[in-house]
Amino acid sequence: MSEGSPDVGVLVDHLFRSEYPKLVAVLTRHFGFENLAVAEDLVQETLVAAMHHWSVNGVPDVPAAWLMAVAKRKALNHVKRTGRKQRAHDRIGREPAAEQQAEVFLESDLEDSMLRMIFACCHPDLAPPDRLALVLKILCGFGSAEVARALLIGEEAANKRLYRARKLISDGGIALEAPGGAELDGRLGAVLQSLYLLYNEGYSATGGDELIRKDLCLEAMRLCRLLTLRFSQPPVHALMALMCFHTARFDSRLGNGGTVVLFHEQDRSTWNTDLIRAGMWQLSEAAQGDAVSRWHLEASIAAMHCTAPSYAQTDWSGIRGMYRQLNALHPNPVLRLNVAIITAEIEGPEVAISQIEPLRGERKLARYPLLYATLGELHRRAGRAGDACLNLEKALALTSSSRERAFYQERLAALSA
Amino acid sequence: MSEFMLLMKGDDSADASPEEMQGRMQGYMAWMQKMTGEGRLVAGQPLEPRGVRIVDAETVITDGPFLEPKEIIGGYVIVKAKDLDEAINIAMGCPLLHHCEIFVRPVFSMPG
Repeated sequence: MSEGSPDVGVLVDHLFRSEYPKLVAVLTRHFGFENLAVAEDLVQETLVAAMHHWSVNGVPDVPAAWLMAVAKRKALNHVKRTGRKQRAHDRIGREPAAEQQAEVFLESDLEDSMLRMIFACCHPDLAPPDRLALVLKILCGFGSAEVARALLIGEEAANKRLYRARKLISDGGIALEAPGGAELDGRLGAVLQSLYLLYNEGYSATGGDELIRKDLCLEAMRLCRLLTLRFSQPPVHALMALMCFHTARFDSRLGNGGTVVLFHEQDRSTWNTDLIRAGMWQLSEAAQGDAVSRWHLEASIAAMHCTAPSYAQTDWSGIRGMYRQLNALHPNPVLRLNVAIITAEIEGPEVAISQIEPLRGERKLARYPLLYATLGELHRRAGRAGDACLNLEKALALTSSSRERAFYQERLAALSA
Repeated sequence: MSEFMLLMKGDDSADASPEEMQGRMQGYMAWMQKMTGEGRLVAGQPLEPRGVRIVDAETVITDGPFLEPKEIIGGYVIVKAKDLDEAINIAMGCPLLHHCEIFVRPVFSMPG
């Protein structure tokens, strides 16, 4: 870019992407959620206008304010053009004076618009995979090709999900409002679930475009933080805490050249202490009330890991207790696998293997490479190189991640050496 | 030096993500800045993707919303160039050429 040139100015990275959701949220609030597509088109036009205008006249002092002002003007022009057909016109059109029309926009609170949008995009009537695509498109400002890359699906599949979601929206099936009262708990649950999935998409996969996947985690955190400001409820803070703890360990998870670094080999000095502190604060905010959510338990587990002075000094039985509670709350074979992995630290590999063997029959784990990777590691620790190799080969065959594949191959080579 | 109007037609930005748009803008800005630096830039503005077409005193046709993005004229730039060939070279260097076609039209000026 044109650094050092005062008349052009320097653009913040991802400015368009980070402003897009705000512009769409504010405009959609006035057009109604069923007219989401109209808002998106007008925001797109706004970006095109910015491109032409800024290139000639330089970047404005406050680019975000320029974009918002132009988007709003385009919205008002749209209302004037399309007459009374739009709901927005009924709403804004009551006051004919242009100044009063502008007033309506001034009243609108950006944060409030974003929160309504979060609840609408995570509506329980939308299928969870469609929700994720919609969240990325509308709340994170991704294009459909970027949505596809982020979710590791084809562009056609991403467009299908977006199409399904848009169909439901344009049919008027979803209201753009933050729920209150008795409805809030259930709706908040759907939002937290979606943000967790979004975070997990970025966190758990080691394949794909590394940069965009780390962005997913940061986007999920940004949305969750916004949620904590208005809905300061224990589960919201607990999920925020969980994300803080996981993100604190980001840099230690990948070695030189992007290889997988096992948890016990991670360099704890690279963990981000600011994020760990933020996580502890969120966890203390989450401690109000007596309901324990899965986010509470997962955040507590992550906190125990983050605050242990070393791998050996980890409170394994405390962590195992949390995993057992979690499994009681939401029974899941992956959690039982985790309990067994912790058991290996406390009671040794043989007990852990005896806990894992029955899990082989679980349909959910039949093609789960980590089950076999774990068995391989435990057999290795028990001194049975042959069994270790058999299991690692199975994990190798099941994984689709090139990073994991390299990791298993390295382990196999070490065993046969 | 003569003046030439560069019309950017067929903007495909309807499908571009915000991130792509910003990337395009940064390329376009650098090009514009070069134009300004060389003292070539006379004017430039984006155009709204709609308007009217006046056929005659009785016939005014609403232009847009366009079904085909390739019908949209996204904006114009007026630059100074020695002749049409130089103006063509300038337009060839415009990074938006990847996303639209560019009409190069000499602005008529009275001789002398």
